[in-house]
Amino acid sequence: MTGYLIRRILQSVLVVVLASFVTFLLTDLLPGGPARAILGPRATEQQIQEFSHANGYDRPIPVQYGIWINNILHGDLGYSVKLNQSVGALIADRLPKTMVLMVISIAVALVVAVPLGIYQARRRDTLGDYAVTSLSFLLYAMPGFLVALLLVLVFSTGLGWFSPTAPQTGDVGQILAQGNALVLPVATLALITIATFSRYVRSSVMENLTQEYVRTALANGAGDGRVMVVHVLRNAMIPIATLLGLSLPSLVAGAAITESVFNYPGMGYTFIGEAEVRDYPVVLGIALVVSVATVVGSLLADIAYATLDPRVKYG
Amino acid sequence: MARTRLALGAAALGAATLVAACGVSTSSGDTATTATTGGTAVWAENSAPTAIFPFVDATALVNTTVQFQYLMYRPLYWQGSGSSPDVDYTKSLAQKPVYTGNQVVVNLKDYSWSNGEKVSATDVMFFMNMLLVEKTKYGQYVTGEFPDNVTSVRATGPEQVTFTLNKPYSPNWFTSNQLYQITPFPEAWDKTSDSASSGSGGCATDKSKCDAVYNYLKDKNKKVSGYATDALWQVVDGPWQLKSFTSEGVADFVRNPKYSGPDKAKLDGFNEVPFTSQEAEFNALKAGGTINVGPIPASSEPKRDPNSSSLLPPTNPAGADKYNLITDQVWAWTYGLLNYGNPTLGATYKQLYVRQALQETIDQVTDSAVADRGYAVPGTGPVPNQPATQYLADVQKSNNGQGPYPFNVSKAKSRLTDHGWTEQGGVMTCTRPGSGADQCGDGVNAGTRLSMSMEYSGSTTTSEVMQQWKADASKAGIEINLDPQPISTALTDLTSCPAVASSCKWQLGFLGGGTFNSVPTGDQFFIPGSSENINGINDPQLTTLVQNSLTDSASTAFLEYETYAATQLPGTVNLPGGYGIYAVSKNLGGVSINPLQSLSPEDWYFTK
Repeated sequence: MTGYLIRRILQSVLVVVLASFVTFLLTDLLPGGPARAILGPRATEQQIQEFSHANGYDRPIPVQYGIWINNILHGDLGYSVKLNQSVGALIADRLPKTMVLMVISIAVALVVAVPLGIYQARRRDTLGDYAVTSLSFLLYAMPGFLVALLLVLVFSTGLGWFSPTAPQTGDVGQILAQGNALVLPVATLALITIATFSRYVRSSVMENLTQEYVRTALANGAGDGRVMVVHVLRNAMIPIATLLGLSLPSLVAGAAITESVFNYPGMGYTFIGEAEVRDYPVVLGIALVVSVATVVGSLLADIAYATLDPRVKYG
Repeated sequence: MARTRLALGAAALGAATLVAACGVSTSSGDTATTATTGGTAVWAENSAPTAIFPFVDATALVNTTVQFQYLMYRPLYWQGSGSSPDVDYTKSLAQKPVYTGNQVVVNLKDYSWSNGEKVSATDVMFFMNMLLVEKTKYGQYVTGEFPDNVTSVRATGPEQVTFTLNKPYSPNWFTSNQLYQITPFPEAWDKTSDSASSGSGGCATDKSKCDAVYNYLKDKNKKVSGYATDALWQVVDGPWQLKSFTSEGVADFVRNPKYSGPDKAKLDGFNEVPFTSQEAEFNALKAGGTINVGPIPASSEPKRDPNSSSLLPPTNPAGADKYNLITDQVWAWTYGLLNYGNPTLGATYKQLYVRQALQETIDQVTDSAVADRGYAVPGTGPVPNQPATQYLADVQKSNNGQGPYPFNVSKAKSRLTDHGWTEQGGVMTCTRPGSGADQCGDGVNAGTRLSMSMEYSGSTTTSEVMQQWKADASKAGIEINLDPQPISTALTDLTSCPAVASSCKWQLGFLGGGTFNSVPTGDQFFIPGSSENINGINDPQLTTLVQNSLTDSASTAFLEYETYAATQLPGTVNLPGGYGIYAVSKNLGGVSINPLQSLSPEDWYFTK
């Protein structure tokens, strides 16, 4: 296992480097350079050239990339001229906010999806199963912004129960203290995730319920509940563990649409907004963070898989 | 208010963005009773301010940042008064300047900084010296204009500054469009390190020391976390002081108890909250309790009858029980660009009859009613048609407000056929080249086809206007191929042609238009080499008229320029100018945002 981990970590480093270079290259290939987009239409050619030179945009791509990597290795993710902040400070501010929202959403989704999936598996092909399945497909098919807007329309504008905007400012503690403002954005993300997770749980539980060890346990006198919780659930959660690991990038990248609807300036919205204005340092910085989160998530998923299923061995 | 050529896009064509302007009318049902003092008003904006130091470069030169700065640091002259774009001398730090030939004497009023020091001539010199040294880093700098048109500036009294100009200028223009750029700096900023004493930097008295002071202040400006806590920025002369500021741009202000101006704040606090999207802001409006002043997104504005006497929507989409409505008219000109430098069609665009024909294929009345949902008026020349001002010449008001070239496809077609164009395969083609009166014109080759690409960026409204133009122009034999692009791409593509004309590909372009300073002169649009003149306009007569409008104080000079530009359509076609709608809490009075988007919450008050 140790050898496997070392190999995976080395692979991950390569993947992150490759992803960063591809992102770097693609941003440079985008039509319209950063100078005009940031300085605006009144900027003269001289100002454009001065800006490009000052920020190294007039150098060859490999040189620019080398400088960027060197800066990162020294802890400098760059500076956003547009936002007048260092990229590091920007990410340090946005990332916790995004993670709060995403972690709560995924946690809520799990708490609901697992029992729901179990219920569907045990009551498969009943009216309840069909109803939940239909609802899941409906939520799965709906765009996130539509779910968000419907929730706002009903529960905020209509009933006045919840705030239409997410917590606007403050640190993590202050955000968590504004529970009313978290309800709708969390519900938006959780509903869509529940639709996905519950289907996986349903399929996985159904598959495990037909296994021999379940019949053996029942034959030995174990109750339904014990069989489900002690035996079936652990095995059924293996694909969920994989999904959770692969969800790590979303914890970091956030959900741009949901953040936009609820006025929550997290990582996703910041990335989209700054990409539109060719704010390359921010785009590259966030892309790097998400790349790291992706490879780490993938690795954690594999580890979880091996932990939950003793038949899986990495050499 | 700083003038920037914003890529207005959706704003220019009528979508109600968060660009703020005039409040000239309110919805019925306004039952304001007694004005009170106290309370905190919340203002929604579309982007976050990014700089506190009021010497910003082009990247930070956006309205929200300038509005943010002006709440704390007053400009010498305040642009915009009520529904007028003119200077508001009541809110200005200085009295109306005295012009004698090419000398301008500015006398400051009795204002003080929050640290007790007077706003003095030295503070003006501090700004001016920095501007003279660092002008290329100043976002509002235009080559040949302020401060290039100032041969000398000196403090001629404790509260008096005298400018000597390179020639006499129109006082109205120079005050409104040039002197307004001055924001006096406090002595507390004149240093090069945190531990240094006020004034030790020496920039106020010695230009050679300004670079070090500039670099120090610029570095301080980068520390966003210190905006509300750093003692440096707490020295203000405006009615507001910054209490807190987050990296997302949420700004909380408190009343400056030491403000010495006449317009003291009645509110205790004023908060600016940036929103990630129009939808998020509108949801907050409708839910109520969060925002006191915020825009209505264009998509949520109910359709309005363009012939209605009221500029407001027929119904209140934010809720008539919670909000009144005010209009938002931006002092701007919405126009499309014709690239004179394009190797294929440049010479064609230079023919007046072609520009006239293009203009006559734009159905602005329909655009205003349909695409703009009734919240726009036809644009008829380089002076904004709304709000109506003394600057609007008769030529722009002609034809019942449709200007010298109202929509008329058959007339457009006749212009072309009368000048040697023949419709071939649905597209007008030059079949009679030459420079005669009935020929295509100088430089227009035989076989030239009126088939052109229009690269634009904007909202749904923009797309609808362009689609309408394409459809109508085709009836006159003009083929327009639409090329929508993201704003960053359009900004890069739609630039002045390089020396090698063959690489200058764009033909028609649209970036939204341009906003003006108080006096809507054409110096930045029509003079060769000017910042907005990306389409190669070079008309000696127009240049002379523009320059006359800057130097001749008689209003006739300005009207002559405007009449010529409106009839000549230099490198441009006019498009509808839209306006937006803002919602204002029913218990909040005094809200008025002028056409130059100057924000003055010190005039607001809650009622009971």
